[in-house]
Amino acid sequence: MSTLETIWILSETPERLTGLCKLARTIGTRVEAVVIGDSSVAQIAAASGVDKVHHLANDGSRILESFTPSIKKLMEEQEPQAVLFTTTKRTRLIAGKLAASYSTSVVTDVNIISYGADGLSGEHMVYGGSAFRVEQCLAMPGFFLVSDGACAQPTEQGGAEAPIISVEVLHDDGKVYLIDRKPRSIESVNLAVAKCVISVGRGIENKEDLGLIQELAFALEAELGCSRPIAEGNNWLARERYIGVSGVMLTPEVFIAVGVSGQVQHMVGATNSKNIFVINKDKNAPAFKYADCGIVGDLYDVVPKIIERLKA
Amino acid sequence: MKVVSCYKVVPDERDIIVKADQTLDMSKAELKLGEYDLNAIEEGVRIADATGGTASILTVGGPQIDNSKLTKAALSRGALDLHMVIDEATAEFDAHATASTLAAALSTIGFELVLCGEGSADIYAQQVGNQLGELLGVPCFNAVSKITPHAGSVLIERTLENETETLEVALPAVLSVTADINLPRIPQLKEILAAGKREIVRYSLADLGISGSNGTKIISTLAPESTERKQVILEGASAENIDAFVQSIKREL
Repeated sequence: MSTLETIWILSETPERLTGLCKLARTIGTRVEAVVIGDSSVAQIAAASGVDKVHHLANDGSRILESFTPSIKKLMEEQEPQAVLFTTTKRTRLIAGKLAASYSTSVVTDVNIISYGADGLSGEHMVYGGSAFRVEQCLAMPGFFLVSDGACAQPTEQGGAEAPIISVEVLHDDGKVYLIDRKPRSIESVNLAVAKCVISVGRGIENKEDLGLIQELAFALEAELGCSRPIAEGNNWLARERYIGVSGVMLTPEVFIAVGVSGQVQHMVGATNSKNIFVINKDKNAPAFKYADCGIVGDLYDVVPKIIERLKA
Repeated sequence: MKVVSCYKVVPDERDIIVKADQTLDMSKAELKLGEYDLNAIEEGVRIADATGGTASILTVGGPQIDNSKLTKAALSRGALDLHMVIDEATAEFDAHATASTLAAALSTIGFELVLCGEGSADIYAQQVGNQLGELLGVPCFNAVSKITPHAGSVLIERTLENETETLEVALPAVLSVTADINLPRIPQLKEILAAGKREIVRYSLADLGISGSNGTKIISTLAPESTERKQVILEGASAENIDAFVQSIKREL
C-alpha cells in the first residue's frame, strides 16, 4: 500500500505520542511530533518513535491554544500531508482552527484512518451511534482527531532518540488573559477496563436509592456507570461515569442495564459488551432489544432479590 | 451586549430506520432542535438580559428548517429574532462549509458574542464553533462552563479534562458552551404564542454571496452490524426468574 510522505502528530500529553506515532506509521513514511512545553516534554516526544520533534517552548504561562498561529506558520513552511491529534478539548480547538485556515474540516473521533482507494479517510460514529461514517479529505493536509481506542499505548518503547528542533514562537495577540488555572479533582473511574459494569438510568427515583445499585455493584465486584441524565441533568454521579456516545465506550464481559430505557446514544457505549443484561419494569423499553438476558420487573423489587440471591 | 446563539435542526435519531443494506432511512425521522444547542440559546438570552442587550438566534439548513413548529420551538426560548440561512445545498455541508455560512451571516447581522452548543446532536464533531471563531478572526473557546459579561470582554471558565481555567477574553468572541452551563427553560404556552410574532429574517447562500465548499466528502454512512443477542426475557421477579438471571450473570463472569 502506498503511504503519505510526512505525518505530524500532536498530543496534549506527550506520553500518548508513542501510540499516536504507531498509528501515523500506518499511513505515512515519516512521522514528526509537534510539542508545546518545557524541554522535558520535548525529550519524552523524542523517545516516542518519531523521526523528528518540533519543539515550541512554553513555560506554562500560556495556554496551548495560543500556539495555534505558530503551528500554522510551521505547517506552511514544512507542508505535512496530515496532522493527527489525540482527542482532548484543547486539541479539538487547535485542530478546528488549523483546519479552518486551510478551508477544510477535521475528521473527528476517528477509530480508523486509512490511505488507499478512498484517498486519505477516517471512520467515526454519527447519529448518536446509529451509524459509522467514512469521510475523505478532499485536499492535503488532512486533519484527524483520533479516538483514545485507536491509539492505544503500546508496551514497547519508541526506539532511538529523534532530533529536537526548536521552533520560533509567535507572540500572543493579547486578546486573551489567563487569570487562573486549577486542577480538577476527578473521580478515578476505570469503566473502560472493568470486567463487569452496571449502568443505572432514570428508573432510579432518588439519589439515595443509588445505594441499592452500589450494593449490587459490590456484590458482583462491578464498576458503576450511568446514562447521561444521571450524570449531567441530575449530577447524581460523576461525569466520568457516564456511558455513551459522548461519554465512555465499554467492552466488559458483563453489562447490566438497570432502569435504563435504552436510547441508542447510551446503548452504543455498551454494544461491544460480551453479554448484556437488562432490568426494566417496562417490557417495551428499547434496552431489551440489546439484551442477552432480561427481567421485566421494577428494579426496586428485582435488585434486592438479586443481591439476596448473590449473598446466599 | 449583542449576543447571537447558533442552533442546528437535526433528525431525531430514535426515528432513524436501518435498511437491509445497513444504510439509514431518515425519511420518517421527526426534526428537532439539537439538544446541546438549547444551552447556547438559554445562555445567550441570560447574558442579553443581564447586560440590557439583545439575544438573536441563527441557524443554517435546508427548506425543512423553515417550519413553524421548529421556529416557534426556537423563538419561544426568549430570543428577540431568528435568522435563517436556508438552502438545499446545506444538507451536504461539512463543519467548514457550515461555519463559513454562519460566519457570512454573522458578518451581516453583527455581533459582540456568538454562542454555540457543545456539539451538534447528530454528528457531534464539536467543530463548527471552533472553525467559526477562526473564520471571523476573533478569539474562540470551547468547553465554556461559565460566562460573566464585562464591558468589552467576558470572563469565562473552561472545564477541561484535568483542569479548569479562567480566561478574560476580549470581545467580539465565539464561545462553545458545555451541556451543564445552564438548565434550558421549558417554554410555556404564552411564550410559544408570542414566538409566532417574533421577527424571522431569511437568507439564501446567494444573498450572503457564498457557495459553501466542503473540505471533506462522505464516502459512506452505514449502521454497524448488530450483534446477535440471546434475547431471553423473563417476565416478573419470581424466585425462579431471579435464580435464572443470577445464574446466567455468574456464568459469564
